[in-house]
Amino acid sequence: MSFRFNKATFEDNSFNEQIREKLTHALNADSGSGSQSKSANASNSAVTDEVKQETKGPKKLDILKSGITVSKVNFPSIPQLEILDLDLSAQSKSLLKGICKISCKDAMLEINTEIEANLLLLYTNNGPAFTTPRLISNDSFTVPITMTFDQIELEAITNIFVKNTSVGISFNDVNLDFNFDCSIKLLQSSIEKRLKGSMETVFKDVLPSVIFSMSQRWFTHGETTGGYPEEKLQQHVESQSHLPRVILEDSDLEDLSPATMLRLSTLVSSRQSLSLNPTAMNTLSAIPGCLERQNLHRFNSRVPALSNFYPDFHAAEAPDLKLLGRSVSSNTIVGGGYNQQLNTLPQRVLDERSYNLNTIASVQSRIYERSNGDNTNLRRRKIKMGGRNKSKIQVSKKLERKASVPDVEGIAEAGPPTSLSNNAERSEANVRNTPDFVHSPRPVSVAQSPELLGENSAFFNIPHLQLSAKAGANQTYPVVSPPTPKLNLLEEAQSLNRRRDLQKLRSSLYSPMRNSKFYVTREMERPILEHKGLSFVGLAQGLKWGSEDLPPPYGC
Amino acid sequence: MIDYMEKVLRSFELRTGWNRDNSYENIMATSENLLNFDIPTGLKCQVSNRSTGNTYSTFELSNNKVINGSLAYIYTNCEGLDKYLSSSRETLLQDASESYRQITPPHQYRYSRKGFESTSLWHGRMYYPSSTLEAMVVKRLNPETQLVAKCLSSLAHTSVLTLYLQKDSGRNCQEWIASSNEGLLGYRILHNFTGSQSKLNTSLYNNSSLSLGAEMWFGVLNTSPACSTTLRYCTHSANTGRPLTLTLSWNPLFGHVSSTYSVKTSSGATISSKYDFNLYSIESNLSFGCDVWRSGVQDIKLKKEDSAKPASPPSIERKAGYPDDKLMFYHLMAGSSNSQKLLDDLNVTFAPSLHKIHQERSNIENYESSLREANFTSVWRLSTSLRDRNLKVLWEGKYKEFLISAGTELTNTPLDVPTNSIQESKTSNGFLRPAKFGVQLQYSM
Repeated sequence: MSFRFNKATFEDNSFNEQIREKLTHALNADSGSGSQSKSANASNSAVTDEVKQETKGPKKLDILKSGITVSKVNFPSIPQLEILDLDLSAQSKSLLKGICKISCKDAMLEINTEIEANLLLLYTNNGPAFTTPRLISNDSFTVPITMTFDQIELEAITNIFVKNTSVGISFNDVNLDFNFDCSIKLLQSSIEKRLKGSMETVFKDVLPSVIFSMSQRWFTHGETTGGYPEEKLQQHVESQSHLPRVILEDSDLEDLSPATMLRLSTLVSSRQSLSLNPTAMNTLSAIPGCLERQNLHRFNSRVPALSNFYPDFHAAEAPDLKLLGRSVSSNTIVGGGYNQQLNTLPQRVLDERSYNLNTIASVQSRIYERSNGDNTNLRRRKIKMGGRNKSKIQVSKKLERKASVPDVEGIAEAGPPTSLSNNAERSEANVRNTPDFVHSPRPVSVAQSPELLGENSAFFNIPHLQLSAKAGANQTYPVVSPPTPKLNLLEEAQSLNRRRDLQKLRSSLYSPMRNSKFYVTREMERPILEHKGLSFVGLAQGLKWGSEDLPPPYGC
Repeated sequence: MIDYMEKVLRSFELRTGWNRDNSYENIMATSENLLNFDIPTGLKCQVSNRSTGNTYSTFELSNNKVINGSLAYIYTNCEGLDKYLSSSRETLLQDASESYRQITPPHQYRYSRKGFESTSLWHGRMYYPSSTLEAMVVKRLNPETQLVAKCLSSLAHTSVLTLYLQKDSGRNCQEWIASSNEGLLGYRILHNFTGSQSKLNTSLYNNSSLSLGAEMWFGVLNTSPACSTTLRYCTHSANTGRPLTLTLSWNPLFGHVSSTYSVKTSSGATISSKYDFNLYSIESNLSFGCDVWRSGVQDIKLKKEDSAKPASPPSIERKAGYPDDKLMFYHLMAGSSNSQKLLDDLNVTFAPSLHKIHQERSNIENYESSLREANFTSVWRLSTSLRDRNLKVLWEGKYKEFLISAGTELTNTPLDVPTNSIQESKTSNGFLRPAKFGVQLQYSM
């Protein structure tokens, strides 16, 4: 969960004007009970309400003769918001719990309006004409009234809960102080008394309920949630006539785009269920384009790399990999060491020779495509191992299959380290040292980082890996597979890579929660993602999302 | 347009000798009629009938967004209302429409107290579908007092009962009012200064009246007071005999001063103007209103009947001192002996002035009779107010046997805008739009 406090709004004094406009607008809403209560405040008539209730007349008395104008608003200093405590997911239901201190000082507010002083006129106008005696010279007499609130000081400690689809705020410790000045001195004390009395309800009832209902609208994004259709809410509000109108509007939230709010709510809802048992095991993220931290290991496991194959071997070697997964603990912060995954084949694989050339070839080509943003076709060198080398079974002969590369020694040198240590640094050094070996059979290329591969676009050596590996492992080991099928394998790998389609990528990324259980082995057994686009998700620059533009990833 | 039921009530008052104009409530009736006349809303049809000798009924149907209507009944034990009531076919437009109120000075207004009977009038009106019930009882207790009880019972409002106790002694008219709505209590008084001819008046024929009234109100439940005082002067222009009315009212509580001037410039036109000013807030308002009567073909038969019946008197005979004229020449007769000689002398001495009196009086009376006899077919009313920026137009007339009134109010303040809206000043763009429109048809048998 992230939020932004736009401090710039308060830096210049333009927000004073904004407040003035919004207040004026809210106070002048027709039939708004906000203005009604204001009028009741301004009227010095506790009797007014009683009489209103007694007569139960269909019309309401309105002693305001004109609109309420908020003439001056002055907040000289920036309202301060101090976060005292922030607790994430304190309970299972509440996502965020925080304690804030809000304070604002020396603010000033001035309100102008006109009231009808001739109350009897109002009553006679509202009464039934038949029984109301006619009064002579009973015209209206309007009195302008100005109310000034000086030196408003507010200090409040608030508890904020961000729950499933709403924000709840409760004001615990409110210190509000202001100087009140009314142009009609006769009414000043009574208005002040009523105002201070009503302040408690404002902070206890009104503000929390207003914010709550407004936040519900954010999260549901205008949709009617099951329990609270808009009309029902409306009726609810209307039935409680003392509740003021919601004075916050959608226009206040224009900084938050609906799409963002939608995504945030999806994020919130997805997070909810991730407490212990992740629901969508086979997807990387519930939200397209967004990778969550706890899913990083899974993401890494799908990055085309040799180490991601043969999970069994890896599991045997490094069981802590799984420990780092989300399945262990959702609260654990995954360490950075997790990134040190090497693009190498596990030692055991090499030892037991259980690798498959076809897979390795496809991994390679995928690495190539990942690093190569553009659509340059993967070209592999095809070597026919028919005629002259066919009869030769010796290692040296196999090395000679790279006919274009004369330097056999370099290959021989490069081979052993790869097979033994699979050290990427070493292989890089090799590349740097021997730039001529671009076309040479180099097993190190498998261990190379994608950048290096990207530099040497024509660098392909699947068969040689096998050869060199064999050479490293056992120099005299004969070639197991016949040469002709190998050629087919190469082509097959290539075509396999071309088969990828964005639709699949989408479905895997978009796919909502599935009810599959979490099995690490199954996850590992899943075929490696065959989409080059995936690797770019949220990590790399120069994203390519295919024909349909997905929204850019936002951090989580 | 005066409703049939209202007309029955007025006939009842006329019959029982109750002077409607001698009440503070109606002290500004003329300017109210000319400036704040009611405009019907929607389409309204009224059918009225005198069902029996003592009961009257009205059926009303109105279409204002929804169709609703009302049924009204009146029962009165007062006999002889026939001559004050007429069907819509025969009635005169000036009787059916409220316009300039001719104030009769109380010394001229005499009602017979001898044959007074304690009569009463019961009125009930049921509105549907809202099921609102209006009820009114008017009871004449004695020649000087009248008790009015008005009651309203409905679902929307709590029931309201308003009681009026009115005491009219001619010179003074006092009223005590109590209403259950807001616990309103009120007291009204109207005093007529010119109970008899003023000796200061140079004009010997005195038809003017000066009245001063005041009212005090207090709403018990809302603790809001109200009061006002009003001065009214009615007279006739000496040359033309045209009546005019001036009022000046003052509300001391809210510093409101308003003055009106209404004059009937000719038999077919009335002009009224009103100027409001608030001493405290320096707000002011100027209103104009006028009505123009159009007369159709003179119904000679009707005219003859009318002229035969009442006024247009042979004035020379009266000048000689008939008993019923004694008021007029009271001050002349008072000190004189019965000797013919002296009288002759006086006649010689006062001949010019007596002639003048005669002329004035005949002027006025001719004018009044011409007004009475005129067969008006329609009247246009216009009123406008500077502050409210509105224009009210009302047409009332007789068509066939129907009394029709149609009117509209044009305003350039936005419609249906609540008072507490801030855009009020912005939207006045100079165009007048109808805020109200309505047609009322009235038929009575």
